[in-house]
Amino acid sequence: MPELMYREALNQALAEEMERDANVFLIGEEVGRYNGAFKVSQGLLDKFGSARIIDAPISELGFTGLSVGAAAVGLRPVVEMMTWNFAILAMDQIVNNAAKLRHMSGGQLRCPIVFRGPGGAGGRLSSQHSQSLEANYAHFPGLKVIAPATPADAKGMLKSAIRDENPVIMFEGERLYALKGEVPEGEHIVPLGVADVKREGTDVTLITWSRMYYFCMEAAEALAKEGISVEVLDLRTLRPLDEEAILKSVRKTNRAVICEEGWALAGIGASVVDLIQSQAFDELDAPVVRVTGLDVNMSYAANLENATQPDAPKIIAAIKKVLYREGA
Amino acid sequence: MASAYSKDLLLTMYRKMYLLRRFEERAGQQYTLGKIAGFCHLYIGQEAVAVGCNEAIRPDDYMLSAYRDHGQPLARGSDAGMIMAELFGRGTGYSKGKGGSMHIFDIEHHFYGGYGIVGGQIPLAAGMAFAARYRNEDRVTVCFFGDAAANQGAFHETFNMAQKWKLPVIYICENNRYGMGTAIARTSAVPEIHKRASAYGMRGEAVDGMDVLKMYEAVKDAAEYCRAGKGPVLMEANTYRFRGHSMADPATYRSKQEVEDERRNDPIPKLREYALKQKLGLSDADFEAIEEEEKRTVDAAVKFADESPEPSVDELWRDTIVEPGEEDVRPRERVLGVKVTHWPKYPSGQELKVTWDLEPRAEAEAADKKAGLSR
Amino acid sequence: MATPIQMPSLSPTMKEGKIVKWLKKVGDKISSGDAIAEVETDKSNLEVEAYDDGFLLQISVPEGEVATVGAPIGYLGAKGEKVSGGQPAAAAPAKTEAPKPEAPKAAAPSAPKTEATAASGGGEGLAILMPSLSPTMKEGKIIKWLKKEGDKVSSGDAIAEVETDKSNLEVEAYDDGTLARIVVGEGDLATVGAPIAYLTPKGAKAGASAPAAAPSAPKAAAPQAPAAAAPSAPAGAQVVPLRREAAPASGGGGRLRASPLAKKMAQERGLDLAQVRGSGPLGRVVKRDVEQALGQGLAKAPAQQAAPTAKKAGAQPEARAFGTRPEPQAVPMSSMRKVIGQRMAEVKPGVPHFYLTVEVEMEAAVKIREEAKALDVKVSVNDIIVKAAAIALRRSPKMNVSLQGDQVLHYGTVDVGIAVAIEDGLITPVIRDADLKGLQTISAESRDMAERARKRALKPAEYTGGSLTVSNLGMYGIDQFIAVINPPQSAILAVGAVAEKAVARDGQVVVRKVMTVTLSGDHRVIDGATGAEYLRELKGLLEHPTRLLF
Repeated sequence: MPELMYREALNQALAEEMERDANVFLIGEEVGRYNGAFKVSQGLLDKFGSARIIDAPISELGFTGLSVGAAAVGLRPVVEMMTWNFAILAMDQIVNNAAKLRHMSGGQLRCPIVFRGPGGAGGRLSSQHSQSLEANYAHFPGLKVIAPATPADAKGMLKSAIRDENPVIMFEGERLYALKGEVPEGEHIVPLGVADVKREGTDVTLITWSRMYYFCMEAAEALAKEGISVEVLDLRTLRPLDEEAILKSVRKTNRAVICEEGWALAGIGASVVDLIQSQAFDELDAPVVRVTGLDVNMSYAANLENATQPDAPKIIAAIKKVLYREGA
Repeated sequence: MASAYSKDLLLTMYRKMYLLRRFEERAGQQYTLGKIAGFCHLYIGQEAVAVGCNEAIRPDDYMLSAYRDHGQPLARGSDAGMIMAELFGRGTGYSKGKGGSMHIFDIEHHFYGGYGIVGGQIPLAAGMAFAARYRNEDRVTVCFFGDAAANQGAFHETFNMAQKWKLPVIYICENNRYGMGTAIARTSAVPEIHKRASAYGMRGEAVDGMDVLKMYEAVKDAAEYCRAGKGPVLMEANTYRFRGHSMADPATYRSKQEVEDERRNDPIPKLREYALKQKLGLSDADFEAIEEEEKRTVDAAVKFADESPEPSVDELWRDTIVEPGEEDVRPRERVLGVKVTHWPKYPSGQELKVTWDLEPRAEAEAADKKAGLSR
Repeated sequence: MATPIQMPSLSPTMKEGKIVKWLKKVGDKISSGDAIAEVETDKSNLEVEAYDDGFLLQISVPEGEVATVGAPIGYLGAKGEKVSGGQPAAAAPAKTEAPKPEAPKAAAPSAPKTEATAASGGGEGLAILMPSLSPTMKEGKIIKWLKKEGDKVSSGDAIAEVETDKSNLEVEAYDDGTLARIVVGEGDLATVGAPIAYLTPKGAKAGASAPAAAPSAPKAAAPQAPAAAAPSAPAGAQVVPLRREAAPASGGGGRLRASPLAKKMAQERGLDLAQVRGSGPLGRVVKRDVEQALGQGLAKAPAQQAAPTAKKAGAQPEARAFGTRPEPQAVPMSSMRKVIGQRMAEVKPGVPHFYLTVEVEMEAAVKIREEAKALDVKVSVNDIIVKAAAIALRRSPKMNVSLQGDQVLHYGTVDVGIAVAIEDGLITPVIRDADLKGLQTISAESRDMAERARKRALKPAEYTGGSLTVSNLGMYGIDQFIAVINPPQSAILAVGAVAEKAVARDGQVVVRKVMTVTLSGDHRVIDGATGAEYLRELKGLLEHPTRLLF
């Protein structure tokens, strides 16, 4: 199986889907002649022309709303957000129009559209450019929210998202784009709403998604050397949550740690904890512990930035805590 | 002198304007009786805008509006009873009672909805026009919005794109002079909304929105312009609402005299006087007969709404996410059991051939060069 | 025809409006859209608009007066038309009956107002409120005062006669004292909860108005309190006392700390957690501790030791003698049990049940069974009941219905369900066309279906449909019980044991075989009288089974 970078996997998914379906077009800032701010759309303008790879003005609300309108009458837009921080300007169109068209029209309209772009900290970009905003979108009925961690999932899930009949919010990662992984060629589809056990284990379930997945794998490997068996569950889809997969794993290990890059309050992890305590209380051998970004704005200084985010040592400490092996 | 307009057209316009008026009067009454709740924005006074526009475009042209949205679908030919039922919050409404007064959608008649966030529908309309252009259809999109929406960012962001990409969309600003209770001049550096088109090099014009024939002519011309691929049009229809912003608004911010004066400019009697003067053999009796018919239509609509059941509670779980294989709901088929034949159909991804070159390479390169950029 | 002009609701919160000014006078020509009066609402002054063309025939609410939303304030009609007799009369009460259309809400604000007057007037004491005397009662009319002002009143005395939407009933005093003032006169209406009179409490003089509301509240709540309290007691007893004992290893003498999983495992394996050393934070017992304890063989032995602990809980004292563990067994719910639970929880609050009970003499029915036996034909009493229930259904088509969504299905066939208890649950196979089948067929079918039900071999089509189920717990010696309807059926018959009872017949005490049947009906589709007629028919059929032949 060929090894591809995360961005190449996305590029492949876009190209394949645009080839397959002429209703699909990509719109966003710098997606055309510049070949993409993060090179996700490299080469696509030449391949598909300027009506299908559209360089938009810096009007997030405007081109998002335009795309929602196009989706309402049968096209299948993919809207690239240069980063999700900028998409806050477009939130009205996503939340008040895309997520509600089906409802307000009593089932007459549908809105098959993908909004995608990098989320999370990019590295030394300070507070406005370093936010993990997936919890905001996961809050809204009418949307699906995905955050694949690996190149293979990125390709398979973007293809599913483009084929989905609903608005799908896709969080990629600025620091994921250059990561490499094996990616199946051609028709590789990863269904939305299905979590994936990326590493099997018996002592504790470590639940995560997107970039934090890599820290979790690092922690799991380190702990394996100490004889602690960690099961890493990559949620991949944040709305709807794969409740079955979460509960299945927790019922097996009886302990859970949730790692998310975003803030703790009203985070996705909070909903996962809620699910576990309400559905698997009697299976718990210890309180669930969360590892999250600190409850502060992201700083530019390298040491502050690192201290703000979760990392493998923090995850290891949390796992030892739920295993009652602190200081062990 | 022979009339410039056919008898049929004049009577159709009269019938529709009268229907809109009567419908809104009854809606107002039903609101006061507690049958309609929430916000309810009436169209009384503005009928000439929707009707003049609708008669000037094709039935398959797209139309969408803000939350003052009962008039446009009625003008398009939507079922009055099902709109009233939607206002009543009944299962037989166009949106099964889920949308209410602010969200009327009738896709069968190409009415793509009423939107409740001021200006939120403006980019959507550009997107629908974009889709038409993308598919090489000669369809135009008409988007209504209020004067206050012209101060939203969406207005400016969209006009920039619409003009740059020459999208076939007619923006009709229904300037009724007040954004809720605030006179437009109080919050606008340039209160003549149509002038703002010039900032984007876009065609912009003001029209007397109290005259249905002037609206008709203006929109007819704008639609031809759009269909010819010349780009979007901003049309400012100067109109007036005889009622408050919504049913809960006593409209104390304007004088009685002002309302009285405007009422003398009522577009409905105006059209009737015009038509009677033409040599079309029309008499008062013709108009009275129409009025009686439309009154009956509206009374029947109220009765239909009132006798309709509330939506089933099961409906809560529908229409949020489209499940795999799920079909779109066709309201008249669902409610009245009629076969809906002209539901929008889109070409598949294999059938569709995109030939549009939105930004020809030479143009892009020239712009790059002009900016001193070489790639 | 004259049409009323109604007081409009001009704001979401408006309940009534005051006519500030009439902008038109009687006889004026009016067009739809004309402003005809100015009204003061709770928010602002607004104009009332006409919605029809015509002439103003009558003004019913003059300037300065208040009318509730929806009440006619004037009439519109053809020129010179007379407003018919009933209409002006209807207009008048708009004023006096102001709170009527908004009864429950209007009552609340009015109460403090009256109390304020009461206090300033020297303290009229406890308010006697219009009681709710039927589930649907919104207001009541005082027909007659049985006490007059100044009369001494004792708790429990009837003080007034009230006409409700259903019948005439008496209002009872709940306090002792003197009837100080009657505020709702004979012939007048009061909404439920509104004061109709004031009582000066015994020994009190003045200023006692404040507590007025207080005593009434607990009274209303009282009947429910014991019901609510009852089930909680045993529930608590089950769990709590288990581990009060010192947790020797875990120290601290406080509550024993154990993870939910450890508690569950201990319960399942009969391990006394108090004997287990906890390795978690603050000595919390966790899974590995339980596993270790079990591995050390603590499981069986400590289970015996644990018994005294359990005895404290008062559970199964003799169980120990047989070597069984006194701990209750926690068995996971089977999926069937879960479905039943869900369904019943859905039904009980969702379907408004009503219950009707009747005693049936079973001499004749029992005789049929004996006759069948003599012929070597197997027929049970229950088969006869099923047959009778079916024939009765055929004769009471109003009972043979099912509420599905918002439609009532009326069945053309008579299909009767029979509740079959199976391991860890129950299922209700349906005998199709039970009214057309002979007893032998019914008997054979029910035995076959019960058999297959126990093997879980029924097809869904065999346990769906029908309008009524027969649930018989007679074989367990149950005399009488109430059954929960199996939706979307609309009724269920709860059949008790056939037992000999002393009953009075023609002035003589005689012994008869009697069976009690209780019908639960879905009140959304069936009414009491329908159910009663059905039971009468059923009773007749069972007492005179020859009627089954007709």
